Amino acid sequence: MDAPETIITIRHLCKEYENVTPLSDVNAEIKKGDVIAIIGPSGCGKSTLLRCINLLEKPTGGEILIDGVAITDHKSDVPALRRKMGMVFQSFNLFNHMTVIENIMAAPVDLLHRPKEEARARGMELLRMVGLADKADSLPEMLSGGQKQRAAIARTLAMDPEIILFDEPTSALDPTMIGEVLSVIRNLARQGMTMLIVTHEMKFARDVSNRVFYMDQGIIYEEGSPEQIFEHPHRERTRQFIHHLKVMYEHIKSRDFDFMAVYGKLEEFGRKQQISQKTIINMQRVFEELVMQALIPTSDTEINLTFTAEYSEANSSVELRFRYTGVELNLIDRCDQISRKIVDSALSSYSHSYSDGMNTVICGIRGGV
Amino acid sequence: MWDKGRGVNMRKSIIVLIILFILTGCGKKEQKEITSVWQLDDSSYTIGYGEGHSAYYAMKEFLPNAKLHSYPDHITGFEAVKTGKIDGYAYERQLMELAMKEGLSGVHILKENIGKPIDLAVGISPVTKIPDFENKINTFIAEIRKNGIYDEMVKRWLNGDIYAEMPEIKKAENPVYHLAVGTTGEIPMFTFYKGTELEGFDIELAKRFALWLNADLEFKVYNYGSIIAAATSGDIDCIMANLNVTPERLESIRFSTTILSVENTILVKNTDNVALMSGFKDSFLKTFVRESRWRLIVNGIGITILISILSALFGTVLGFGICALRMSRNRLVNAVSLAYIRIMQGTPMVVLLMIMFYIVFAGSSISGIWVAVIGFGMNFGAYVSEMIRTGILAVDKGQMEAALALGYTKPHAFMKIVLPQAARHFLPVYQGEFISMVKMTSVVGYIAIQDLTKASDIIRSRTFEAFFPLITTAVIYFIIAWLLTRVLTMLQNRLDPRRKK
Repeated sequence: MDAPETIITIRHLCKEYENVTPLSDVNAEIKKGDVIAIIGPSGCGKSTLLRCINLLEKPTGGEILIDGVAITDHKSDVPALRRKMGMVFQSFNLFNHMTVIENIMAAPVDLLHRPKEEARARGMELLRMVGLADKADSLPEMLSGGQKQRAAIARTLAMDPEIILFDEPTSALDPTMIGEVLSVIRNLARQGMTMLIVTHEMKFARDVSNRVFYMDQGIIYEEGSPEQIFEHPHRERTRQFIHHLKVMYEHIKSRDFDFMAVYGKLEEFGRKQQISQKTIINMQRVFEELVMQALIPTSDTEINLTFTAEYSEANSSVELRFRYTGVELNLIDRCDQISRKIVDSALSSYSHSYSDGMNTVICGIRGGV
Repeated sequence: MWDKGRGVNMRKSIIVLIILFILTGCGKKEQKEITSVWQLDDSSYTIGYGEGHSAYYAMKEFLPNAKLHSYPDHITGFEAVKTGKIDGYAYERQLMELAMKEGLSGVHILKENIGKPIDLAVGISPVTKIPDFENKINTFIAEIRKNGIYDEMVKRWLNGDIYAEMPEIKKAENPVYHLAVGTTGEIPMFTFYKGTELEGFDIELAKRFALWLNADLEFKVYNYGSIIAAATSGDIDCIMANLNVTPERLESIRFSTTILSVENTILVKNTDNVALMSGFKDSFLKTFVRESRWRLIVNGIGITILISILSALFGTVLGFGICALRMSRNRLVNAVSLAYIRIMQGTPMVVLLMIMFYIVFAGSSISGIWVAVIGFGMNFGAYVSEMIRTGILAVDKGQMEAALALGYTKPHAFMKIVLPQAARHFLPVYQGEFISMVKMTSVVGYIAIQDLTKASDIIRSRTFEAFFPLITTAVIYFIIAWLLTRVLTMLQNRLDPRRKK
């Protein structure tokens, strides 16, 4: 079998505003038949990426090739390129002054010069496909959110696009209506439609896609198969995002760091996440024993420690991670008897690993009220 | 529909009631009988006079204690005396006598004159293009005085008989000049309309002078208030309209040698009460039928509708243009368009119209109707641009984006998607602005256009009766506005998908 052809190539794409840079350096190749879920925290540039691909936003750097044509070149025929790309918006954007069928017919008739009757027949076919044939002559305002989004998808399909960009298609919907829209998109995936889907529906993203882009810090931070991204993310931020982790982060560089400040921060973090007081005290104890009693006395003046506290809402558990450079050093072995007792009573799990001069200690904190 | 119909009837009856109220006047005080001009030299009396008329100076000198009140023309002044709004109206005796003869009732003329007889002359534009004009007109006047034509004219027009026959006067065959004569068409005997034709002493004088001068002749008809401005701006070469020589006028224009002298006196109300309408049938015939005066009304309606529609078209196109500038990202362009809008919104329409006619287009050969269309269009455009802008801003940005994403070009998307939705927001306001513009066109008389209002003024100047022409005018404006509203409502319904279905 031939390798599927590349539809979109994105190279060093950059989008800067005066104060923020939603995209700093995005690189990607999208092949025919790809269904790509784009996930990531809010404001990480997911929507901006989609909007740059069909030039609703003008990129400030880099290039985008569609079927080998650079659309970022200012000589390109942008409307013609857009006709090959459908876009489904978060807020549907059906044309309010037209009926549903008129919404669907408008672009094929105006832009592809299809005969009205043909466009209507095709429109009705699409409406049947999305289950809205009986709403053909209704105005958008008569439709529910889910119906509007399905009509919008039908409108996009009427142009026979090579690829469809979905910009958070279910974010503006009632939870009860999300399913009907997602199943339409699933159907399209089954039919082999190439799609880029920005979504917050993680389960859906995992089911429907063959590739997942995790976007963060203005780039595609991690890319992989759904299994890889959702089961075994390679990178820290991806893992934190996938597990909905709330994270507190501290970088300690000196032996004489402000110990009380970190103590206070832990307290504050715990309160904010509504972690029980007992757990907070346990966090502080583990930090104190492992850092103040075990790590610092054994180190020379140089110290390079990254400390994170992670709280998972899903199973209300807290994990502390210590990553420090130096020779192999298992902190728990360095504790004296009293320290060891304290630590044991506060921990539910403990692991230590060492590679390439980097120690990693992961502690599960015992909870309780 | 039923509700609307009732509304229309109610509006009509309210209009009629209000006009009756105005015409009959209210809160009349008990009045002593006035028998002499000198009796009026008292601050408890108010006397009316025509804007710029010599009677004003006479009263200032001889009745210094009376309160004075200016009126746009003598017809309105006579009506004000009749309804008791003022105690007397100072004007030319001869014209008062004619008005009485024509059926003006409930009033009488006092015996004494105020001051000396005053001179009537031809007003000469200081910027006329005809060389040596003053000398020429004076020579001409001297000639007709000598050869008897002058006496003939006086006998024909000024013997108190308004129905004199206008003699046939040849036109210049190979004219070397173009003579534009300003007149008012509202003074019986001197310059008035018989049917749709101008006649009278001044008109005959103008025709004879044009022939003598070997010039082709053009009459331009102005309101009293704007005729001097027309002469100073060079829009006309001279004024022949029963023009009084007054000190104030001498400052801005020149005068020929005296043609006639007339006496000023005062018209006062009779002490017995008068009926408002003197015979419905008679009034109707006088207003519409006699001399086919309805033709003036019909022509006036045509002009009013023409100006309204052309101004609306021009203004709408202009409005779109200004709106585009107003929404531009360029700050300078934006500021300029905003300034334009504020200036237009802050300038009274009459003033703008006069500026356009007497300053901007002064001396150009463009017709008054086009000046009006440009003036009203400019004003309307300012309002339209703000309406459209508000309408466009009310359309969600996503609509444009969705259209662009489908592959529409920006202008195509604007026309097909944004504008129809914006129109639903701004059409109701547009309709209101349009109707108010239709009514505003009633001021075009200031720039020598005979619209509906001017036609009704002309008829009033002949019949000396206010009731019929005014009511008719009001009703006709109402019908025009109503018809045009219907047209716009139909358009609005077509753009509303809910009603279309």
